Amino acid sequence: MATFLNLFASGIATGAIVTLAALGFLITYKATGVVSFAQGDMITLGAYLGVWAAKDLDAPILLAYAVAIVAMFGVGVVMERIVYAPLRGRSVHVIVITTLGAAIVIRALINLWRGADPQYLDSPLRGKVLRVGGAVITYQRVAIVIVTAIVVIALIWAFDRTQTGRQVRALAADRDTARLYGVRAARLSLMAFGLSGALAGLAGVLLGPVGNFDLTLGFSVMLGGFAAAVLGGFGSLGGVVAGAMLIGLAEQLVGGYWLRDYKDAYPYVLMILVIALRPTGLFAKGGHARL
Amino acid sequence: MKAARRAVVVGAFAFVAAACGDDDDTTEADATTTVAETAAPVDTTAAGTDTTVPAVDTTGTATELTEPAKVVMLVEAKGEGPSAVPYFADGAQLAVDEINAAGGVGGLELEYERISAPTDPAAAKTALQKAYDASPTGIVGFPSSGQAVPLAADVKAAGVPFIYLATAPQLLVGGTDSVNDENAFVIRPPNSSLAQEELQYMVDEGATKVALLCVDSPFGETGCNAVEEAADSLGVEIVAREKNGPTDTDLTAQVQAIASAGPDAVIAFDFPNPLGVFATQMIDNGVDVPIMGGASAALAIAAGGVTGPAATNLLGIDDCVPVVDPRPVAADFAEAFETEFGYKAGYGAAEAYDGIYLFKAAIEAAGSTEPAAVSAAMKELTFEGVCDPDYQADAGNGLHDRSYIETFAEDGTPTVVKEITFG
Repeated sequence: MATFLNLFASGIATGAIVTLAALGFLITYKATGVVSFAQGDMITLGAYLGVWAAKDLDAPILLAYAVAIVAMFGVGVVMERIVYAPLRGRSVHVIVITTLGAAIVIRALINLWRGADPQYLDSPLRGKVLRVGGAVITYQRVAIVIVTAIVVIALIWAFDRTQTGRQVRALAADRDTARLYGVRAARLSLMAFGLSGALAGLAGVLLGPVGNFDLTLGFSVMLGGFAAAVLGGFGSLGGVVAGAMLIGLAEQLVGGYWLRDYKDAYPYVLMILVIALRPTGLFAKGGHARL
Repeated sequence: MKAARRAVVVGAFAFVAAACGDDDDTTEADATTTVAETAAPVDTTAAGTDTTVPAVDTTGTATELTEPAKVVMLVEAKGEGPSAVPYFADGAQLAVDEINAAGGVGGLELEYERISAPTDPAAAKTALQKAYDASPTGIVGFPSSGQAVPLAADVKAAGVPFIYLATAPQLLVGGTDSVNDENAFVIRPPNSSLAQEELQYMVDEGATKVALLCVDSPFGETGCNAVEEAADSLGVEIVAREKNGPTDTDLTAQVQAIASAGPDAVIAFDFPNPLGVFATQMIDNGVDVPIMGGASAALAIAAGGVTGPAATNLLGIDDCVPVVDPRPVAADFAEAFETEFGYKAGYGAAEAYDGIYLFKAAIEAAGSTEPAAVSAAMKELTFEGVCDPDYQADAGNGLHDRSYIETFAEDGTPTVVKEITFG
């Protein structure tokens, strides 16, 4: 029972981090139609900014996290200006490849700035564990789940109850018509990239304290996030969250019991099986975009 | 059309300018790459075919040189590559600064140039060509066997004395698939029996049931296989063998599997980041057994993510541990390095430092910068360095024959618990 609980908790925590990455994809995709492959390296940059704020600026750790998240909002806005805005109207494939190039540039810049040595981001929850039914769950992983849940609820509320959120949904449903009705697509794309950057920063400061990390921190998270978005359905916020949880549980819970050496592949096997049976994803409805 | 023609002319001019320019820039390789590939082959007749070794004075007395010695360092520095670390470049720079402050080599300033050598063998070959273009007396470099082994034949063909910062049987004279380069030396100890030494240590500490954690890479597989092969003869039962990905941040499944197997000890062939996560998760789950982490242990602890009981359970094995070595040469180096660069020196920095000093000693003993004389002198040297109290070339041109097993305090401070001497 303890093993099951450990693996289940680990799967939920993994799913929560993947959720944050997938939400970053979702927001930029809905506002601009673009999937940003720089999201993984943005997560890495968020963690490095946390280390910079904590060590070089000597900021208290929670303030360091806040600095990293705010800075990443700015990075997201800069990304929109440099990577997306000049290519607006071009083929989506061109923009996607450009985001991949941006990812490589971000990683190279981090390397030049901080080097390739492993880094560690401290946490006020370091070393603290919760014991439930014989299972041991670190407070850091509990925090990851709780914070992600808050973010998801906040996003649902924002997209449902605020004018900006409704405008983003309108853009997602029918971009041309929304613009004809006066929705300012350019302003919303700036906001979407900024918010996506902030989510990447949040993911980085949550994931950083789990252990030492390096330039590869965000890459596998990004892959998981992409798989979650595809699996759950790019059009559905709830679908993306459900997809991320399935990804996390497939990797940790299923992988913990069966053919453990190949557990890293299980999320993608699951994704392929789902889209083979339901190409739009588990929760997307027909061909229409939804939030 | 006119613009295209103009572009061709400008491009040709730039090509010629690059070919003729004196390029000291070690980071911008693109302009000179093409030139290096089309340059005339290095003349090896003087050094590569003459097997008559001149007598050399190995008494260690300084000899005046008529031309300055030059050493080239083939390593990356911070930011130059995805796995570039600053240790080697910093260690070498410290040595060069000290040598020149003390009067240089043979009364003349030691000329030094660092050339960025990417881990990709093709790019490393370009760096090697650039090194030869600089007409060095000796070269120190290639910290990765992935660079060194594919280029060993090129190194041999050039005939310039070379100290490898990597280790592999192929780099030693007489080693498996070796090119048998008499002018090349290996400053790292041989690692082929490290796995058995790690297991032996755990057995000596009382372990009879050992679990293995193997990163999903040739390094992990080879190390774990070596331990499994040696286990029977030492009366050890391998109770679990788990695999993890190189970038895993959650090893819950592996920890659960190993914990349920009830080992006395764990031997891990893993990269520093997942090793650190594993050590912490083992303690979190109440599995309080020693974990032999090899060279990754010190790196995992140095980054800061492993402290407290997780650190005290980790054991490492390093070529040397200069920060705790009481010998004056090591203590002075450790202090000077940390003062200069702001972080503690490990074996990588120490070996790069020693490599420069070894060349100084060999050149002065030879009384010449002539490659064959320097190589011959290197073979005869006995030298006290930071990383080895007694560098001496063996039959395979290996210079360094020992490693150290270390434990760590809760704050990560290392303590050497055993010295291992090879062959």
